[in-house]
Amino acid sequence: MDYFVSVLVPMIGGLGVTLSVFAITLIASIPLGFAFTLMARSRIGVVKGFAEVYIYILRGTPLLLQLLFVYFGLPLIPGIGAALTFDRFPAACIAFGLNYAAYFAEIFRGGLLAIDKGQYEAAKVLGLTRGQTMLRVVIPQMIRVCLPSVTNETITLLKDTALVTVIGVSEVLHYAKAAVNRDANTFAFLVAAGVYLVVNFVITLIFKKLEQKYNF
Amino acid sequence: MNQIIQVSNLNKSFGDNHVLRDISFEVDRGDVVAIIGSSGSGKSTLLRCLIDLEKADGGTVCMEDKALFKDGQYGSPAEIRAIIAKMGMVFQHFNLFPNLSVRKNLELAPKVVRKEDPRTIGERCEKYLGKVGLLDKIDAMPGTLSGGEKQRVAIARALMMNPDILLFDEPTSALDPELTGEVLTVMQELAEEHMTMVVVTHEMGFARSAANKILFMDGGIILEEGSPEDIFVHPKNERTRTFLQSITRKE
Amino acid sequence: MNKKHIILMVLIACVAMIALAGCGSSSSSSSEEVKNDDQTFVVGLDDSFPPMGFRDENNNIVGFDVDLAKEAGKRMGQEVKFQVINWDTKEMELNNDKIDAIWNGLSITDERKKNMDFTKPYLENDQIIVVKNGSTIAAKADLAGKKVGCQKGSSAYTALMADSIASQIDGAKPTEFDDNVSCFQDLGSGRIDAMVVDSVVAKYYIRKNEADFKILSDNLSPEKYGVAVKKGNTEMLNKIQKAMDEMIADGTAGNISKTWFGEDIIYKGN
Repeated sequence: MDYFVSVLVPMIGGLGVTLSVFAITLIASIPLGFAFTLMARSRIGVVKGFAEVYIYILRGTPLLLQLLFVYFGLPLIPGIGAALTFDRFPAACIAFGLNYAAYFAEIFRGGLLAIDKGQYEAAKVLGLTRGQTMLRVVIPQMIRVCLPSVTNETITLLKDTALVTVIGVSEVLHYAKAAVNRDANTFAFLVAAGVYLVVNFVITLIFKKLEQKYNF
Repeated sequence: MNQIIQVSNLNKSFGDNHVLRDISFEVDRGDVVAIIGSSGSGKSTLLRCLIDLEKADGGTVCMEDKALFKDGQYGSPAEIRAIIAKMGMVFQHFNLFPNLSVRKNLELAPKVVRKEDPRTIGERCEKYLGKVGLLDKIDAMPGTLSGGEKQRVAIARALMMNPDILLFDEPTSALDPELTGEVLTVMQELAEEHMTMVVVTHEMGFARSAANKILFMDGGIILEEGSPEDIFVHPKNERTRTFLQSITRKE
Repeated sequence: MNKKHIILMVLIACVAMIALAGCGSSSSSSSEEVKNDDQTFVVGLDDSFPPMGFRDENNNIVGFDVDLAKEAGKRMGQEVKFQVINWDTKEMELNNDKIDAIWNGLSITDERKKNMDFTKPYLENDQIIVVKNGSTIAAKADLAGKKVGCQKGSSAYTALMADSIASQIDGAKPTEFDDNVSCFQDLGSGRIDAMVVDSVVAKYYIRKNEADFKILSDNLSPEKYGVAVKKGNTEMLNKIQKAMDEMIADGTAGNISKTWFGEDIIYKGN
C-alpha cells in the first residue's frame, strides 16, 4: 500500500500537467476549429484554400512531429525564429491546440452539413441576421450532431497528452516510467492506467450529461 | 395605396433551365392569391424570389412602391432586409427550430430582431397560439408535435412579426390528408380577417373558397389569371382545363 | 457570421492559448521547465536511467551522474538545474541551447563526436550482452538467428549495429525499446533472447532485482562515459573539465563513486 502511494504521488503531480494541457487544448482548439470550419465554407477562394490546406497538413502529419517542430523547429526559422521560440509547456499547448483545431474543424463541418437548409431560410425570413441564426438556431443543432465525435476526440486528447514527454514535459506516464525504471517492475504502469481510466470516466460522465441536455 | 406587390417581367434561370419567364402580376392589399399549376411550373421559385430566398435574373419586384430589385439589380442588404421585414413565410416542411420550445420559436425573432419588450412578446405569443388552437402546447418541443400542429405553430410564428403579407409555399403538401384540414381552417380564418396572402397550393377546395385571385402557372409563365369563378368554372386555356381535370380526378 | 467575426474568433483562440500556456509555464516552477541563463548550469538527462540519473522513492532526481554534476556546478560557481529530456531528442536539445550539457551515462562514440564535444572520459563502461541463466547463448557468435533487444537511441544500439554479428541476428536489427527496463522485462519473459546494454546498468538492474540473468564475458565495445556540450562551446567544456579535474584530483569524485558502486571506479586516464 505504501508503495502504491509512493508511486501515485508523483503521478498526481504529472496529472496536473496532463490536465493542464488537456484543458488548454480544448479551450483553444474548439473555437479555433470552428473558425476554420467557417473559413472552409467561405466563398472567398483564398480563405477557403487556406483553411483546407491547414486542415490537410495538421491532420496529415503526426502530432508527435508537430510537437517537435513547434519546440525545436520554429526557433530555427530565419528572421522570425526568435519570436517563435517557446518554452516546453507553451510549445506543447500550441502544438496540441493547432492540431486538434484541425480535427474539430472537420467535425463541425460535418455537423453543419447535417443541418437542413430550411433552418437558415426560416431564420432569414423572420429577419434574423447571419450571426443570430448561427448562434441561436444552427450551433445548438450542430452541437447535438457533433457531440459523439467531440466526445471521441476529447478522450483521444487525454491519451495524446502522453506525447508531451518528447519535448521534456513530464506528465503522468513519464513519472510512471521513472518509477518503473527505478524499481524494475511494471506496477507503476498499472497505476498510470488506473489514473487515466478514472479521468476518462469523469469525462465520459460529463459528455453523457451534455448529450442529455441536447437531446431535443 | 392599394398595391402591396408589383411584379414585372420577372425572370429566373437555374443554369439552362429558364424557370420563370417574364412573370408579371399584382397583389392588392387584402388579396388572397392562390398560385396553382403542376410541378416544375415555377410556382415555388416565384414565391422564393419575392422574399429574397432566390435571386432573380431580371425584372422588377416592388413592395409598397419600394423596389426589392429593379431590372435584376438589387439594393443594399439593409434595404432588402427592410423590405423583407414586412413579409412572412410558411414553408412546406414547417422549418420550426427543433432546439427551441414552441414558445421560444415564436418569441425568438421579436426578441432578437426587433428587441421588443418581453411582456409584449409574451402576450402576443399566447394570443397567436390561441388563435391557431395550440396554447396548450406552448412549452412543448417541436419534435413532439404532429405535422398539422407544427404547421400551425409555424403560422403563429410568422404572425408574430406582424407581416403585411404572408406567403405560403405548399403549406399542406407534406401533411397526412387528415391533418390538412386543421391548417386550412387557420388559413381560411386569416383570409377572412383580410390578411394579404399569396399561397402556392394543390388544395383546390381552399383556392376556390378562400382566394379572390387565382394564377395558373405552366412552364414558367402565368398561363391564366382570374377570379376562382373564371378559372374553375370558365377556364379559357386548354391546358388549364386539362390541369383542372387531372386534379379533380384525383379528388 | 462575416469575415470580421472569423478573424476575431481566431485571434481570441490564439490569445487564449498563449495566455493560458504562459500561465501554465510560470506556475509550473515545480514541474519541469528550466530557464537556461548564464547563472544556471542546465544538465539534460533522462530520468529513467538508474544508476546514473533516475527518480528515487520520493520522486527526487538522484544518481551517480547527478551527484557528480552537482559537485561540478559548485566548483563552477553556478546553480545546477536538471532538465528532464527525451533521450531520442537529446542532440536537438543540446544544439538548440535548451540545455548546457548532457550528463547521463553518455557513451563517447565517434558518431556522437561529430555532433557534440566531450570532456575527457570519467567512467569506463562496456556494452555487454545479457541473457537469461540457462540460455544456450554463451558467446557473441551465438547471437546468430536470435532476437536481440536494446534501448532506442543508445550507444548499445550503435555498438551492436557496428558489430559484424548485427547482420546475423534475427531481423538483422535489434528490437528497440523506449527504456532499458522494458527491454529487461522482455528478456525475462523470453520475448527476446538477449539484450545489449551498458554494463553499469546491467549490474545495477541484476543486483536490484536479483534477476536471473547472466552477463556474457564477450563484450561489444569497451567505451567510456563523458559529459557532452554543444559542438563548439569550448568555454562551457573547459569549465566543466576544470571542475571535473579538480574533483578527481582531490578525491571527491572517488567518494561519490564509492557511494554508488562500492568502490572508486573513476577512470583517470585519457
